[in-house]
Amino acid sequence: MSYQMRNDERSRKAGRFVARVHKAIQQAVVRSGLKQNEIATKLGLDRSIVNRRILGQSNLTLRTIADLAWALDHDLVFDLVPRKFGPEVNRHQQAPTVSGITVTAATANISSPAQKPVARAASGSQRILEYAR
Amino acid sequence: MTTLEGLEASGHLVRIHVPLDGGEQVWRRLFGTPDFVKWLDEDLPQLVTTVVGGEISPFEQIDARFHEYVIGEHIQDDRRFKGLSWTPEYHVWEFKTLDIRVFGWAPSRDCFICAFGDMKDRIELMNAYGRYIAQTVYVRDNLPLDPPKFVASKDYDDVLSNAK
Repeated sequence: MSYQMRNDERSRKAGRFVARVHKAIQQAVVRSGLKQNEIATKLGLDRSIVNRRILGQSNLTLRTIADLAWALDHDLVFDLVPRKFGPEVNRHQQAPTVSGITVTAATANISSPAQKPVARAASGSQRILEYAR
Repeated sequence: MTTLEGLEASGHLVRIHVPLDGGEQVWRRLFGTPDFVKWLDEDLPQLVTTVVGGEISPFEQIDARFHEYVIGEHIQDDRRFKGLSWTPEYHVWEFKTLDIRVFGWAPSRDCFICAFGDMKDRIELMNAYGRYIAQTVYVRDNLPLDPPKFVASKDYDDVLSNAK
């Protein structure tokens, strides 16, 4: 049996984007070698606020992301690029749902034609914020 | 005793797939017990984030974490930001997000079997970490999987390789 996560593309894009931003910030913190109290001092903030921002426990604005990049001595790269491919699904045959679980017959990493029209309705794809020294 | 593929065919395990974005490929395999997949499908989507003003739901958090795992991205191993954490002595691992913990184990490198998931706050409130670890060990012991049933290591390199 196999199970396919059932979240729509909009939800998926948002969740993965936010998670990648948090991960990029945390990787920058590790690379910087700075302690959170040192980052807080540079930003003139309480350490608990910086801690929450780094852990993703508070909403980040573009300004706070830019401030963190400055404090961590990193550059910011942000881009939106047109999507090159439709979404791919690592399955190729949809089977009946049994007790809320979607059962598929086989697995393969190929495109799912049935989902392409939905995907192409979207206008573009987001490239993650990248931090680079 | 049988292989992971045999357990999938017999219904002891369910292969978990995440939708991939363009150009991505599967690098690591993810399985769940039928009970875990039922939680994933029915309970997880109903959960609400405990992060004040939180932007992503627990379901979205798990999708992002599983996606990161499946496509073979580097999983944070800095002690402050671990996305996958090892629990002492029993070789039980847990996927960590802001709100959710998923307990399971690595039967081989780049393969993970999920056994239980729950809200982090509820686990802490109920002091249930030990119970979940013990239950995961029980599930693992009773799964008719060819030995060795788990990677007996706490090192990331023994349970994970990176696609890039």
